[in-house]
Amino acid sequence: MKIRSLALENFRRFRAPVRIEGLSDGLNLISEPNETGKSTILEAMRAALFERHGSAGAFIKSLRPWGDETAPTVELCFELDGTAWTVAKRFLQKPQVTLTGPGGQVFTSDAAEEKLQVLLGFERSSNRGADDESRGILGLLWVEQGAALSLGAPGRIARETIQSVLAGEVGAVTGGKRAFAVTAAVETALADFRTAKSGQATGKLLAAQQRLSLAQIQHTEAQASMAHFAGVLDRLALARAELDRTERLAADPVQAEDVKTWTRDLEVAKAAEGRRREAEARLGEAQSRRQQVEARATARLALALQAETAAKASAEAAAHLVEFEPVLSAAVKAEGDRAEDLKAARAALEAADQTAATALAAERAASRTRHLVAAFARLDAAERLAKDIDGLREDLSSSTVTASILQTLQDLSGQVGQTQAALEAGAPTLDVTLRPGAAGKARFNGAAATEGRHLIVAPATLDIADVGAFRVSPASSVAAQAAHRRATEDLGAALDRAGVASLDAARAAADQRRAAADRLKELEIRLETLCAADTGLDLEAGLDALRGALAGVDRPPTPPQAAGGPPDISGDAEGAAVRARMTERAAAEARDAAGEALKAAELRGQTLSAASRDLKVRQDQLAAELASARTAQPDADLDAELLSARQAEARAQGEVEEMKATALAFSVEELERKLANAGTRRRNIEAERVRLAGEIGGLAEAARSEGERGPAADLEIAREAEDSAASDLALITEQAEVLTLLRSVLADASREATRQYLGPVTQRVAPYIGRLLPGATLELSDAMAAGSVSRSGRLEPAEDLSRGTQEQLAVLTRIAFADLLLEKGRPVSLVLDDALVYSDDGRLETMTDILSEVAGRMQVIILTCRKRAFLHLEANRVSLVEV
Amino acid sequence: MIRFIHTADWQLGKPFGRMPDEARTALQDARLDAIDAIAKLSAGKDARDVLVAGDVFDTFEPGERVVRQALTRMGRAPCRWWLLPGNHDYARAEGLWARLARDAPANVRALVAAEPVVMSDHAVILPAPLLYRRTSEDPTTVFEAMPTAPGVHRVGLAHGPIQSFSSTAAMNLIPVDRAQRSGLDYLALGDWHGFNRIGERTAYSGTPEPDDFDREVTGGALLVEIAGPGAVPVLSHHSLGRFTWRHEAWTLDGVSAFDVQIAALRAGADLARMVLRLKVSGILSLADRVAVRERLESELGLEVRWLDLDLKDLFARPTEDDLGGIDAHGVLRVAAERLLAMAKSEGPEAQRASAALERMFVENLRAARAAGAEA
Repeated sequence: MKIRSLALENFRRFRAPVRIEGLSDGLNLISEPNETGKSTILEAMRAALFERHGSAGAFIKSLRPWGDETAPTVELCFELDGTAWTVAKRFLQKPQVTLTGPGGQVFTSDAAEEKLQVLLGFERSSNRGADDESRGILGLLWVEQGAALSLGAPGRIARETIQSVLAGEVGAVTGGKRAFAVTAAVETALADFRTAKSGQATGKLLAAQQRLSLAQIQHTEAQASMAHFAGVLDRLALARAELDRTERLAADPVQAEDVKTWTRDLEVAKAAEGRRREAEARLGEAQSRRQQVEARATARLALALQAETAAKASAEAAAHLVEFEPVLSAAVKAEGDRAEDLKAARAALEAADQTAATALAAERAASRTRHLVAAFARLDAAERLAKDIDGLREDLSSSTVTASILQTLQDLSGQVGQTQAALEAGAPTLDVTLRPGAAGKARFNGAAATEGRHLIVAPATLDIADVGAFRVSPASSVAAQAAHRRATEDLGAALDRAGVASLDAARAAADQRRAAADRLKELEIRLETLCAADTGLDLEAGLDALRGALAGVDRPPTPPQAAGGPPDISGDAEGAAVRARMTERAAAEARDAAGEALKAAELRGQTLSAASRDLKVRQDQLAAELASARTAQPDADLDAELLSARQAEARAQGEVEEMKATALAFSVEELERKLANAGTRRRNIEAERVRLAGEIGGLAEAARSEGERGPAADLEIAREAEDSAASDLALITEQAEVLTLLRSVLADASREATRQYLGPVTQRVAPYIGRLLPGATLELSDAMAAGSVSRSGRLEPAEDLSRGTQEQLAVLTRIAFADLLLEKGRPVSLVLDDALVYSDDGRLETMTDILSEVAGRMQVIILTCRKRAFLHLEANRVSLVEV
Repeated sequence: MIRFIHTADWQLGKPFGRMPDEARTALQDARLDAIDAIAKLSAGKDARDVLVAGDVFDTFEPGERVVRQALTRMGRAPCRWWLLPGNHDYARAEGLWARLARDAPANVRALVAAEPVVMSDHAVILPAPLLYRRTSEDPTTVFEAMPTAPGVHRVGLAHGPIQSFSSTAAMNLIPVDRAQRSGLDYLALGDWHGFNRIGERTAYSGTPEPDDFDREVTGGALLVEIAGPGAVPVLSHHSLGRFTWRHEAWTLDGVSAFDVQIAALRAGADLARMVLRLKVSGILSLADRVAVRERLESELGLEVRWLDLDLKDLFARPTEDDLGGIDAHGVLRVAAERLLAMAKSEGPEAQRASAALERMFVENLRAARAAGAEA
C-alpha cells in the first residue's frame, strides 16, 4: 500500500484547504515545526479510512476547527497492488463518502466504507470512533506521536491477521476465530460468577452466596421465633398448672378448720386476760394504800428526828453568839485608834508642804537677781562695742581704695611699665661721665646732667655750657611714645579718682581698709555673743531686745558671791514634804484596814445572830407540828393501820398470780398471729389467682397470635430453603470452578501456541535488534508486544528499559510485523509520527539506516518536528501546501 | 351397618422447599384440594363421617393460612370430620389443636383427648391422640380403659407404625394385634403413606396425595363398611391423588438406549402429573452425554412437574471423534487433551476437568454453529 496524496479542509487547525502531494514509494519525510499540524496529518489519514462518514460522535466533532460549525473534509489517494484508489469523506454536515477505484468504479455511502474495510482489513468502528482494536494492521503500523512509547500490543484484528498469516508459516493453528470465540464465551460465562480482575464473587455466584446468607438469617430467625413460641407454650402450660395448684390451695378444708379453732380459742384467751387485768388493778390499789400508810409512818418518824436536831442546833447557835461579842468590841476600838493616827499625819504633811513652798519662792527671786546683774553687765559691754563698731563703719565708708580699685590701679601701672619697656627697647643711651668739676656745666633737658646712662626716649637736649646744645632725637616710634603717654595719663587719672598720690599709697590705703573690715567683723561677733538669748529672763537675742528688757528695771546691787554657789534651801524643804506624805499614806492604809476588819466582824455578828434566831423558830415549828400529828393519830394507831395495809396487799398479790396462771393456757399473740397469717395467705392466694389469670390471658393470646403465624411451618420452610440455597451455592460454585479451570487451561494453551507461532516474528526482528543492541535478543509477549530483552543471559522486562530503547523496540517489532505481512501480500504502510523522540544521535542513525532499508521494501512516511535530526537522511522531503 | 371414610397423612402445608416456586405451589395446592376430593368421595359413598388418622398438618403450627384453608374446605362439606393429632401435628398444649377445638366449624371435631367419642348411635370412636412428637409408649394402650356399651361399634383411631424399620427404638409403636386386644371392630391407622391392610380389622389408609419419592404410592382414601358389631369390615381404596412421585434409575450405553427409556416413561404415565427423580448412569461419548443432558434438561425437565436429575454417574469418555470435533490442532485441541488427561486422574479435580471439557465441547459447538450461521 502506498499513500500518494492527502487533502484536507476545515480539519482541526486547517480551516483553509491544504494538500500533501508527491509521496514516493520509499522513504518520505514530512518535517514541520511544532503546532503546524503535523500530527493532524496522521489524524486525517486515519479519519479518511477508519471513521465512518455518518458518525457524529464526540471524536468526529473534535475534528472541526475550534469554534467552527463547518464540515471537516479529507481526501486520501493511495495505491494498492498497483491500482489507485481515492477516498473522499465529508463529516457532520451533509456527510458523505466516495471511494473511487480502478476502472472508474465508484462506491458511496456504506458500500464505500465496507469496500474500504475489505481492501484494508479492518472493521466497522464503534459509535465512539475507531480505535486500535478496529483499525487492524494499519492501526498497528501507523504509529501516532507518543504511542510508540506504550509498547502496546496489537489490537484484536491486527492480532488475528498476524496469527492467520503466521498459521501457515509455522504449521500450527491457533484455533483461530473459534478458539477466540470459545475463550470469550468462557470469559463471559465466568464473568457471571467471578470478576475478571480480583476473582471476587459476582453475578450468579454472589447472588447464590447472598441467597444462602439470607436463608441462614431467615432460618435463625425462624428458629428464634419457634423457640419463642415454644417458650410461650411452655410458660402457658406452667401458668395453667400453677393456677390449678393455687385453686386447690384456696379450697384447702384443713386450713378452714384451723381458722375456726383458732378463733374460738382466741375468745377464751381474751376472757381470761380480762380477769387477770382486774386482779392486777386490785393489787395496784392495795399497793398504793400500803405505800400511803408507810409514807405517813416514815414522815412521823422523820419529824420527830428533825425536831430533836433543831433544838440542838438552836442551842449551839446561841452559844456561838455569846462567844463573838468581845471580838467585835476589839475591832471597834482598833478602827478608832487608826483614825486618830491618820489625822495627826495629815497635819504634819500640811506643815511640810507650806515650808517647801516658801523655800521655793525665795530661791526663784535670788535666781532673777543673778540674771539681771549679768544682763546689765552684758548691756554695758555691748553698748561699748556698738560705739566702736559705728566708728569702724565710718572709717570704712571714707576709705576709697577698695580691693577692686587697687586691682585696676595695679593693672594700669603694669601697662605703663609695658609701654615704658617698649619705648626703651630701641632707645639710644647717653652715657654721661662728668669730669670733676664739670657739674652744672652740662644740662640735660634743662636740668643739670647727672652721671650715668640716660635713655633717650624722647627728643632730648644736652646743653653743654659753652659748647652749645646737642639735640638728640630717638629713633623710637611716635606710636610707642603715644601708647606710653596714654598709659601714663590713664594711671594718673585713676590715681586722682582714688584720691591717692601713687600706687604705693594706694596699696597702703587698701591694706588699711582691709584691716578695719576684719576688726569690724570681730566686734560684731562679740556683740552678738553678748546679746545672746537669756532663758532665765525670758529674753530674746539681739541688742535691742536686751536694751528693751532692761529699760525701766532697776539695776540690782551686785550680790555677794558665796563659796560653792548659793545654798539649796528649797531641796531640803521638798525632802521633808515627801517624808510627811509617806507617813500620811501609811496612816490612811492602816485606818482603811481597821475599817474593813470592823465591817467583817459586824457582818459575822449579824450572821450568827440571824442563824440563832432562825434555828429557834424552826425548833418551835417542828415541835408544834409533831404535837399536832400525835394529837390527830397517836403513834400506836398509825402502826396498826400500816400492818393492816400490808396484809391487804399480800392478798391481792396472791389473786394476781392465780389469774396469770389461768391466762397462760392460751397465747393471744400466737392465736392472733396464726389468724393474721391465715388471712395473709388467703389474700395472697387470691392475688396469685388474679395474677395467673392475667398471665394466662396474655400468654394464650401470644400463643394464638404467634401460632397463627405458623412458626413450625416457617421453621421447616426456612430449613429447607437454607438446604436448598446451600446446595445451589455448591452447584454454582462448582460451575464457577469448572469455568475457572477451563479458562486457565485455555489460557495456558493459548500462551504456548502464541509463543510457538511468534517464532517467525522474533526471527525477523532479531537482525535489527542485533544492530541496535549487539548480543541481545527480543522475546515477544503473548499479546505480541515487546515482552523482554535478553542480554548476556539476563532477562529484562521491556517496560524496565530506557524510554529510548522502548520506543526503538516498539518501532522494530512493527517493522517485523510489516515485513511478515508484506511477504504474505498484505497491504502495509509504515507511518511514524515523531516515534523516535527519545533516541540519542547514535541510535537515531542506526534506526534511520534500518528505516532506509525498510523503505526499499515498503513505503515509509516519517512525520517529524526535528528537521535537523534527519538532515543526513536520503529521503523524499514533502511539505504541506496551501491550495 | 356403619359406613365411614378412613383417611390420614394429609400433611397440609408441607413446604417442598427444594423445589422451584411453581412446582411447590402446585404440590401444596394439591394437598388442600385432597380435602375437597375426600368430601366428594364421602358424599358419593354416603359415608357421613370422615376419620383422619393423624398428620392432618405437616407441623404442629402450620400457620393460619393453611389452617383457614383446611377448615373452610372442611366446613363447606356435608360430612363430619374427626381429626386426630399425629406425630407431625401432635397436640401440643395450648397450640394448634387448642385453637382448632375452639374455632373449628361445627362439623369438625378435634380429638385431642384420649376419651371415647360417640360417632353415632351405633358407633364410638376411641381416639389415641399424640401429645408429643415421639413417645416410647404405645399410644393405643388407652383403648383398654375405654369400655363401651354392648352393641356399639368400637372404632379405634390412632397414628404410628406397627413395626419399626430403624435400629433405634421405635416411637409411637402400635401393637399389631391392638384391634383384637381392645375388642375393636376396626382400627383406623395413619403414618404410613401407602394403603396397607393389616389383618382383618386394621388398616393404613395412606395419604390422599403422595409427597415423596421414597415409596411409590397411589394417593387415595378408604371406604370402610361394617355390617354390625363384630363383623369383618369391608374396605375399598379409592384413588384421589393428583400427582405421582416416581423414582427412576436409567443405565445408558448410548443415545438409543436413552430414546427407549424416554419412550417407555412417556407411554406409562401422564408426565404433567409426575414428579420425577431420575438417576442416569453409564458411559457415553462426550457428544452423546451433551446430547442426553440437553434433552433431559430442555425436554423431559419441562414435561414433568418437577425433575430431580442426577447425572453424577453418567460419565463421558471422549472419543477421537469428540476431540476431532473440537479441533484437529491448535489451542482448543491442546486444552481438550489436557482436560482429558486431568479427567482420567483421581480426585475431585478429575470430575471438574471432565465438566470443563464438556463445557468446552458445548461452547465449541455453539461457536461452530454461530460461525455456520454467519456463513
